[in-house]
Order: sequence, then C-alpha cells, then structure tokens
Amino acid sequence: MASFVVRRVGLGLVTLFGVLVLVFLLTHYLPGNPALVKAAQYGNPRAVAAMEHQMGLDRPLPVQFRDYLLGLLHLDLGTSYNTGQAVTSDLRTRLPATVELALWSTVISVLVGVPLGIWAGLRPGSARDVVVSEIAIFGTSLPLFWLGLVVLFLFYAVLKVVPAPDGRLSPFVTPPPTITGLYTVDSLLTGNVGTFLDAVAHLLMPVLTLVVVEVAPILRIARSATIDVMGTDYIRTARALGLSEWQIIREDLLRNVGVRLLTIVSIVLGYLLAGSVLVERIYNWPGVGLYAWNAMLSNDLAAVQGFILLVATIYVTLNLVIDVLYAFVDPRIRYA
Amino acid sequence: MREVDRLVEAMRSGRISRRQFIAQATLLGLSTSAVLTVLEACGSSSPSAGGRKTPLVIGVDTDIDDLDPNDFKSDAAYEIVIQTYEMPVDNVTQPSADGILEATNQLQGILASSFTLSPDGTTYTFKVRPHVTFSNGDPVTAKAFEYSYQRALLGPGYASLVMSLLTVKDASQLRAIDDSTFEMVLERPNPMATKLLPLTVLDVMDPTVSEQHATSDDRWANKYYRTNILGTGPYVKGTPWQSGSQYFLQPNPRYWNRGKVQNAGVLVKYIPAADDRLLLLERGDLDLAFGLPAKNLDQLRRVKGVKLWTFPSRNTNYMVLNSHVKPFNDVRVRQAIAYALPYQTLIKDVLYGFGQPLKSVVPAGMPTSDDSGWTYSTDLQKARSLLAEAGLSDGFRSTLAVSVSRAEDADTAVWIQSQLAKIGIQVDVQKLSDADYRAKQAADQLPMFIEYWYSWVNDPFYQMFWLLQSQNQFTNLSHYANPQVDALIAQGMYNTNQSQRADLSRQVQRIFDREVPLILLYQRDFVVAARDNVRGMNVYPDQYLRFWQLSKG
Repeated sequence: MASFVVRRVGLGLVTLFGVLVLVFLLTHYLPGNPALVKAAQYGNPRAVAAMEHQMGLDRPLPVQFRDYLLGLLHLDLGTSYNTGQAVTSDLRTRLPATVELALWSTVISVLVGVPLGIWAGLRPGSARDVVVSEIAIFGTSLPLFWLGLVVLFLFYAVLKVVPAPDGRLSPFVTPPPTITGLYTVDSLLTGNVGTFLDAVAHLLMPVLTLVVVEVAPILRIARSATIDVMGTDYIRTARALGLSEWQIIREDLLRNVGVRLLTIVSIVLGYLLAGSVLVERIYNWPGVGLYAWNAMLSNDLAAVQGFILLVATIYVTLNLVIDVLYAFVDPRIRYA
Repeated sequence: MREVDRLVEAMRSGRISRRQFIAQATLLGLSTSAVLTVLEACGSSSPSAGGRKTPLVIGVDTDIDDLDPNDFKSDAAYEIVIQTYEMPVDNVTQPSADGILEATNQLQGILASSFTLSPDGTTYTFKVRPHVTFSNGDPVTAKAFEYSYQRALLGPGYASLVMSLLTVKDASQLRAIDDSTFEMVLERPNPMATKLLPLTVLDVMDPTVSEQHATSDDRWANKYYRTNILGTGPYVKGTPWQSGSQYFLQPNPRYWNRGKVQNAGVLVKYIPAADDRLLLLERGDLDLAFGLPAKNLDQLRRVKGVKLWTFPSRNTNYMVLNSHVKPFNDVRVRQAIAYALPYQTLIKDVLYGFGQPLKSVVPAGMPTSDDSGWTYSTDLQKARSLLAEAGLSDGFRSTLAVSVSRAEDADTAVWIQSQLAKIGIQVDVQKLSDADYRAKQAADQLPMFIEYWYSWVNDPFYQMFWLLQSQNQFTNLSHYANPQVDALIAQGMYNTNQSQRADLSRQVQRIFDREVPLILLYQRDFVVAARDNVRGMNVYPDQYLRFWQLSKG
C-alpha cells in the first residue's frame, strides 16, 4: 500500500510538471502584449519598456521559465498585473469562496441525487423511475449560463426573495474572523448568526444553479449502480435468507453503490473546485473562477498560469485521494 | 443595504436609540468601522448634510490594480486615488441650476493655502496649508511637496510626461524654500500650467514613509504604494477591503476639511458584468453604476427611480486609417471614407443618442474648437467619385480591427462595414483581445481600427500634440506626419497670447479637415447612472466623480 501511494504521488508530480511546461508555453505564445494594454493611452516607448521590465516580459523565455520554477519552490507564482497582488495571495484569498460554493453544491447534490437515484433504481421502469430519469436528462441538457441567468432573473429581479448577486455578503456586512475561510462555517463557529444568514442567502442562487446541473450525473450513477447491484447473486441470496428490504439497502446496496459514487462525486467536486467560472461570473462570486475569467480576458499571464496550476493540483490530488480511498472502501481492489 | 438604510432612518427619527442601533446593526453583521462611521455621520452637525449622512454603494467595471498615484492604473484605481490623495491645488467648482457641481478653469488652494505666479510667468510659489497631516499623522510640509513633484518627475509611471509638459525637466526646478514654502520654476511661461497642476498624478505623498519603504531597486517605494494608501484626502481604507470584490472608503478621521464630506463613506463594489450592474442599480442595491454601455443606459431611461446624468463630453472617438498602408496614404481615399460613413446612424443606433457629432480634431467643449471646415456628411456619390479619382473605382479590400472589450466599437465597425460596402470597399471586421489589439497596433499591423481619446487637459494643443504630432508614435496612431502641423503645434503649445494661440489652433484644424488623417466618428457623452435620490453630482476635467460631494437625499 505504501509503495502504491508513493508511486501515485510521483506520477502526480510528473503530471503537474507537464501541465506547468505546457501552460507556460501556451500562455507565452498567446498573441498580444499585456504591457501595452497596461500602458494604455499615454504609453510611450520608455513607459512600455519599463512596464515590460516590471512584468518580466523583456527576459528570454528560458530565463522566464527558470525564474518561474524557482519562484514556485517558494510558492511565488508571480504578480497579477490586474490586481497588483501576488498571484499566490490572490488565489489564497479567493479559493475559500470557490470551496464554499463547491462544497455546499456537492453536499446538497449528493443528499438529493443519491436517495432519488436509489429510489428510482429500486423499481426500474416504474413511473417514479421515468420521472427521475427525466429530471436527470433535464439537468444534463440545461446550459449552465442560461440556467444561471434564469435563476437570477426569477429569484432576484422578479420574486425579489434573494439578496443582490454582488458577492458573498451584503454591503457593510463584515466577514467573520477567518478560521476555515468559509463564511457559513466561520460565522457559526464565532456565533455570528446575522452573518451566517446573510452568507446563506448569498449562496442560494449560485448553489441552486449548480445543484440543478450537478445532481443529474450523481442521480444517474446512483440509479444505474442500484439496478446493477440489486440484480446480483448476493442480493438474491440475502433476500432468500429472509433479510428485509431495508436491511439489504443498508448493508449491501449502499456500500456497493458508494464505490461508484465516489468516482462521480470526486469528478464533480474537482470540476467545481476548479472554479465554476460561468456561475461565478453570473453571480459576481469572488472565487478563483471569476479571477481566471478576468485574467484570461486581459492576458494576465501570471494569474492564468497560477489558476491552471491550482486546478491541475486539485485534480491530481483528488484523483490520488480517490484511488487510495478505493482500496479502503472496496477490499476487492488490489494494486500491484 | 436597504435594511441598513431603514435602520439609519429609524435612529435619525428617534424611533430607536443609539444602543438599539448598534445592537441591530451588529445583528445585521455590519462591520465595526461601518457602524462607527454611520453613527458619527448621523451625529454630524454639518449644515450641508443636515445630519443625514449615509454611506453610498457604487458598482464599478474594473478592479483596483495599482494605487500608486504616479503609476498606470485602472479606472477603479484612479477613482480610489482621487478620493484619498490631494494635490496642492484643484479646480474651483460652481453649482449649476440643477445642482451639479461643475469644475471651472479657476484654481483654488487645497494642500497649498495660497499660491502665486511670478510676473514673468515662470515661478509658482506655494504656501503649505498649516496643520494638515497625512492619514498616519505625519505633517504635510514643503518637503513633502518637493518630494512628490520630484517623484512625479523621476519616479514610476507617466507623471513625468505631465512634468515635461509643465516644462519641468530637472529636479533642481523643484525646491522647498523653507518648511512652508515650495517653489516650482518652469522653463518658460506656460498657458497649460493651470490645467496640468490639478491632475491627480501630482498628488502629495509622505516622504518619511516613502523613504522607509524605498530600496535600492525601488527608490520611490512603488511596491509599497501599489497596495497601500497614505494620503491627505477625505477618505482612507476602511473595512471591508477585499481584493477582487469590495473596497470601503471610510471618511478620514484626520481629514483637515471634514465638513466637505457629504456622506458616511463609499463602498466600491467590483461587478464586472454590465448587465449585473444594471440590474443592481434598477433594484436599488447600487446607488451608482459606472461603465454601462449605451445600450444599458438606454434601458435605464425607462426605469423609475434611476436618473441618468448626461454631460456633453470631449470624448474623441475616431477611426484610424494607417497612413503606412496603401491606399490610406492617398488623401482622396481618406476623404472618400469620411464622406461614406453613417454619422447620424452611429449616434442613434450605436450610442442610443448618448453622443454628439464630432466635427473637429479639437472637439466641441474645448477652447478654439471650430467645425466650420468639416464638410463631411454622408454623401455616397461624392465618396464614389473621390475613390474613382484615386483610381479605385472598383473599390478594394481591407480589415477593420476592434478591441473586444469595447462593445460599442464592435457595433460601430459593423455599420462602417455595411456602409463602405456601398462604395465598393470590402471590410473584414476583426475582433481582437485587448493585448492582441494593442500589440498589433504597436507593431503597425493594423490597416484600419477604431480608437478613442480623452484629453484630461482641456487644451487644444494638448489634444493635437498627442493625436497629430509626428514624434508621438504611441498616440499618433495613423502615423500622420506633416511638418507644417508639427511646426504650428510647436508654436502654439507655449504661446501665452490667447488670440495667436486660437489662430494657430484653427490653422491646424483646417489642415486636418483637408487631409483627414483620422476619420472623426462622434463625441460620446459622459453619463453617470444613479438612483434618483443621489445628490452632489459633479463634473471635473478628468471625468472622474469626487465621492465626497455625493449624498443620498
């Protein structure tokens, strides 16, 4: 087991290095000169040259790459010229917003999707199975951007039941002291009920949008896994032994379905942690997705590189954790 | 936000006590600094505010990138710098009939209690206002004036351009005579000086703190000032101050002129999507929204509770025909295009009426503007015959580039494309990212593109110097080179005889009309979208709002 983990970590690091090289080259060969954008209207050769020097664009590419790697060793991802801050600091500031959104969306999607999928899978072909399957198809086929705008229009503009989509808290509401960075959690831990309710209210629209889309794959996998498991020999044997339906679900079904759910939940969570760029854009959610969106539009190279590296790290780490978890959840899985 | 407003109103009307206010505001999650600021403002006896100061919320379209007063920065960063730093002098404002505060050409002392110009017009002497401190408590002295002007001259960014236009080329021209007297010696009398001195790049900064943060690589502490604010202005950094999200400008407790601040602070929220800013303003969750495209402004015309403050502007929007690219080096081709464009349609369908025709390189609203020589209105017959004269009766093909971040330019390009097709010019519209657009522009790879210019200095020679002077390769985008124009600009730039200056300006305008190095499109209005209870709207030459004058009625 230990050698397996070491090998997986090694492979993960190789993958990250590959991503690093690729992203560095791609971002530098994108057309355009960000120094000229920055220098703007009153740009002159001296000012643009100074700006290029400040941004490190005047150095040879291999030197820039070497400096970038050396910086990485000190967690220095460079400076974003959009924000004037260190990219590491920008990502650290914004990541909790994305994590909060991703976690709540995933938790609710699992709580809704898994029971519904199992419920449908227990009676394949029944009316309830048809309804649940339709819900899954509906959720999968909705374009996220369109759905986000509809939710915004309906709940904010027409019904007026949610706060303005202008961040994580209402104006003048101070964030709770940082413990985890998640406002809902930190406000509760510090006993700040007003801030907690405000944070929850701001999460409603983006979480709802993500849940509608995210619940579909979870529900589908839960349903198909249930159908597969309920048709196996050991379930038939369990029934023959006189176990109740509830016992079968609890003892055999959930555990077997869980293995397959682990994969899909990890993929969904990874996708969300990577920043639901569109959702963050629609709701002005100050997470890493919105940060990346703005960086990409303005060729903010350091910020784009930092974001992609963060995403790659999250994916690699999640895959690693899931691979290891498999061994615990399903003892049948053996690794050479 | 509306809950906060209701709470403030309840306390003012005496329905709840101060203690109840604090309890309920805390329950709402208001930050301590916000609660204290509101309490202080409510207790204010300022007659102008009538004790009714509240904070405002403003939605902006760009994020803060760099807070150094001398450096290049985004619009949002400029807004913040203007509210937190001050210059020795600023424009005097006068209220108009509808309550708008308009900056005049007159100057008043701000950090200078008085200032004089020597009889020969070359030496400005500033007396430092006594008892003024930076927000950290350090006193403002003549040494601070000297340091700041030297920093503008030699430090980061483009403030050196302003100093150069002032004809200050050497640090020895900037001198603290004693603790309270600062002297600036110009190389020659300068008719633009009074318009250059109020520019925010000439803010006064704290030499003591600057020197503490200076390093051998960063003599002017640029790194420190990019993220820190240390000025004398009406506001300081408050809480919340969250990068990428929101920034609270809290009234400066050490401000020397606290009576002039008409609100209890301003929360600046970064909301990148224009549709979101529009929606939030409509719903009353924003008091003001900046950077709305004309299409959104048009929608707001029909929204109750929103007021559009529309000011004619010197915004100069134009199409560049690169004179290095054939056939745009032929004046007849440029004239043909000038005759072909649908000027009225652009104002009606692209600007939704928020603009005026632009008929001179010196736009309306700028001294000596004279549109009498601009004969170009839409006349396709004339355009065709000029093309035929140029030997291009079959037309030609070219590319018109626009930057994706400027939606109105893309719309304008489509109208131009359709109109030029009628005279046989096939245009491919190319939408480029900002960085790509600027890089191709600088590399002289764009034959046609759409640009804009706004002169912070309301002066015809300032405008023409940047747009037409042949040496200004980064701003004279068509690469127009006419020695006569260069000579006329050089003669007029520092000419103190107003009548001669006006005559020289008109001569350049007439040459421009004949040679059309740029195709003038329109002057887009300066429009501020605000809730209708916002008071204290103001207009300065740089078109940035002064927040301290704003209040909610």
